[in-house]
Amino acid sequence: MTARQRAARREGLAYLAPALLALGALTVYPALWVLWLSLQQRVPIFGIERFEGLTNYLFLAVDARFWNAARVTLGFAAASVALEVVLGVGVALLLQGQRRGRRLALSLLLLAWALPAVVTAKVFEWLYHPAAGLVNYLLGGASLNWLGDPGLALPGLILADVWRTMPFVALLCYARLLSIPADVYEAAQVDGAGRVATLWLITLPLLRRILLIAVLFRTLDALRAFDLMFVLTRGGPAGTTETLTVYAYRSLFQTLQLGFGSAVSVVVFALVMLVAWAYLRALRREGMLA
Amino acid sequence: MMLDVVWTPEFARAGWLLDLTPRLAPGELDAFFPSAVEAATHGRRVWALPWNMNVGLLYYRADLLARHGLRPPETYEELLAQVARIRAAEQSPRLHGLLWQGKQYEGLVVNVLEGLWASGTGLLGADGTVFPDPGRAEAVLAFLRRLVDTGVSPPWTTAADEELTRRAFGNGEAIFLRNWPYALSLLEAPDSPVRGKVGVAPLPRHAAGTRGAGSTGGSHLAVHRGTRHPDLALELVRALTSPAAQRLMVTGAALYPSRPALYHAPDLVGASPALPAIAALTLAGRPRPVTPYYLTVSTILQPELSAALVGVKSPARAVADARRALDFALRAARADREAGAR
Repeated sequence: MTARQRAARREGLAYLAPALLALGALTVYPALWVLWLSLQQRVPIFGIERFEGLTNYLFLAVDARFWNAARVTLGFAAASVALEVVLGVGVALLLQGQRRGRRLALSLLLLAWALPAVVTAKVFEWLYHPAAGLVNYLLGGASLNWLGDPGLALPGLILADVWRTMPFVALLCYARLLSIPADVYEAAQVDGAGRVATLWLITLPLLRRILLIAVLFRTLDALRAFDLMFVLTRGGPAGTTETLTVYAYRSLFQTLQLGFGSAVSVVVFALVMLVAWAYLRALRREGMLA
Repeated sequence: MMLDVVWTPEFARAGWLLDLTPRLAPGELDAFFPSAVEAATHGRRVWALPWNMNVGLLYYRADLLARHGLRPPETYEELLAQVARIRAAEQSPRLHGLLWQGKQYEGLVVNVLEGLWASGTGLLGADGTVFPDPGRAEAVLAFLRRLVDTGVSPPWTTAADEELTRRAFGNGEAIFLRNWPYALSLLEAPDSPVRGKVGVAPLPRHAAGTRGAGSTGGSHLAVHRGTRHPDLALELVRALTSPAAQRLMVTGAALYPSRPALYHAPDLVGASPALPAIAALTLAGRPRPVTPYYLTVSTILQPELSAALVGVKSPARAVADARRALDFALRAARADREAGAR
């Protein structure tokens, strides 16, 4: 390395330093701190601080509530992401085929996406109201207790989440559809491909990459799902909508087990990292990342 | 500061309260309900004075029971038999049998605790064991679930809190109601459909137990440890818990005082004839487990109890899961106890 190169390198590091420091202070440091907390028994208001190694994690292995929360989290993530992708692609294709009112449809889609989660949750609280809710009215005056029934609460939350985040998938796909050159379709037409074949052999493969990215974002979000449950069901009835983040919150702030709650958070973190890593590998195979 | 009784040990353990023990006159606490004093005591020190009282009790429709020649039930078996008999005779299948609080919240824990006491066991054993008699705990949960399954209690019991059940009973929709004393003045209000038709009785017992007991609740008044005027603050607490102030509580706010003597004061009894009966029930009442970790206990229990009630889990599974989780969360309490024993 010449002196000049070294100087350039130093200069580069100096430019990077603020960003690295900020990232370190805001993400790496708290993550390590939570990891450290998770190895302790901590009840802050009682001044209890004991190092106890893997005790919290060993209990998690046999904790029925933790495994239930893990099942709820994975089920919620899988169902909501799957529905969002199917509906999102469908809506994007419909938008593309639409001649009039595209702008209006786009604005409405964006509105659902732009609403804060708590507002969405409150809207759905009314939609699902057992006596006065629109959902029961549309079902012909059914008296289903959507958020109070152990069998309906989670599907109800999934629907709310799909309503809220499907536009994200739809808009990304729509943008990609607009950038597919028309001559590709013309060539397909010349080759005698029908509508189904065009969709299956041309549109969907071309959407593949953008879908992978959309799914990555949505899965990571869904695995950390908290706000809808927190506002609508608080994890109830009977824990059927308690996700890992809700469980972590309850352990941290309601039962004041700072160490144990941190252990739950670390598991969520590890899960999210694992899924992110798997997606990134897939993306790399696609040649989308250097 | 005013604390719900279940908060006092936690605040004391956290070091936020002034230890009142050295400042109290000998015998000063004897004028209060013993269970309220017990709830204000942590580590053999007294941290608060009882302000107002609550106790779980059984409301019954005196008119319906009298019409069928029945007395308030002493056991739950009797209660079920009475419900069946009255419903059959009244030709009103819509009349609910027993209303209680089954929503996933503190009230559910209270109702289950009362069930445990009624069958001669409890939530925490003397040595801190969780569910010392798991078999009986399972039986209590199974019984509560059966109440809903068999229609003795309505399906909405699993979402019911005090007010929901009080209103339904107040509209004449049920024969029995488990609730706190506050409901009485509302049930006896001039425009109440059940005015003059309501009686109060102790909670029944299960076959396995010797007597039913209502859970006591209410508020304490405590003094912050950091106060610059401890004597003045304690004077205020004493004034607010004095007989004169507690009289105003009965007449003005329909709250129940923490001094048993007032329940027998002729002028107060004249206005509220049920006072002596409520005093007897409060004397027989028991506090919820007095521990700094009570909120932890309750928060962990709530979803498990609710799961057993709505049928997501079997009672045995719920008790086993709650036991394991509480055992783990209460290891701090065990360490405290060992430190205290040394």
